[in-house]
Amino acid sequence: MPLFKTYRVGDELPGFETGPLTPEWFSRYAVASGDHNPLHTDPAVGQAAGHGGVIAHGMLVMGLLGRVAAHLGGPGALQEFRTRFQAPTRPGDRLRCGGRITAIYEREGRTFVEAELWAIGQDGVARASGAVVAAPLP
Amino acid sequence: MIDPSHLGRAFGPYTVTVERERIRRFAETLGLPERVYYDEAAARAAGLPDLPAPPTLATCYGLWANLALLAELEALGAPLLRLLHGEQGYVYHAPVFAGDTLTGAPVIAALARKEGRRGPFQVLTLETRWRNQRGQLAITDTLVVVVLGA
Repeated sequence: MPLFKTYRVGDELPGFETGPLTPEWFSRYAVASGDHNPLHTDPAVGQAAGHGGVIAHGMLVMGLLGRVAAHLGGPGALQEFRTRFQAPTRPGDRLRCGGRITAIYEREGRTFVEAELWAIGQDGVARASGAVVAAPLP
Repeated sequence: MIDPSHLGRAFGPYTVTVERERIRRFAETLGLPERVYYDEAAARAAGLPDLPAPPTLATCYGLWANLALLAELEALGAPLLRLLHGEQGYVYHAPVFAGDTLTGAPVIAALARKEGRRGPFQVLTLETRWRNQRGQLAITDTLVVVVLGA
């Protein structure tokens, strides 16, 4: 785990790029999360909804952003985590997930760090953006 | 479209138990690398009482996985196939571990009708304050969903 206090505003968090997303992954996520909305698993439903087929669960993308947020501290360090879903993620998309420190401050003797997060497709289109507030466990 | 008179309406409450197997499978599907999500010994070695909840675990208990709540929304005029997840927020008040029980009553916190390029839609905000078995507030879950064709 990185040393929390060594971050400075403007620093990028370690990010990662996914391989091409697959319908199988969406199906596994449906089972793991209990979200069985057929929009994510049944191509006919995705087609009817105007997406040309299945799209990823937004929460799968937010979950991936959580992997970036984890660089701010281990489990329990997160205070707030928000994500806005901006465009559908489809099979074959590759997501570049990353983040950047936006604020560091002290409050009640603890150091808080805020970061913005992003998931951007191989086409340069943002699929989701987020924000996270973290404080190391006292 | 959900009638604006339903603003402030609460559903449930719903009670769920956080299970180890759920945490493991969820973490694995997201590719979370930390051992503490999979291995009780690793969790204890890290000073945790059991496997901790990954940051987005509460989605497993939220709207999309709650058939009773989805049925309530459908009865109000917002069926699943017209819903799109717009935003999700969590505020973490107390840590959640495997074995915890969470109880929450989702509330319609906001309802807004908007005009889009493809016609009118509604923006529905559901807020759920999950309390643990000790009555402590654990997570505030704010879910913003777009209701298409409202």
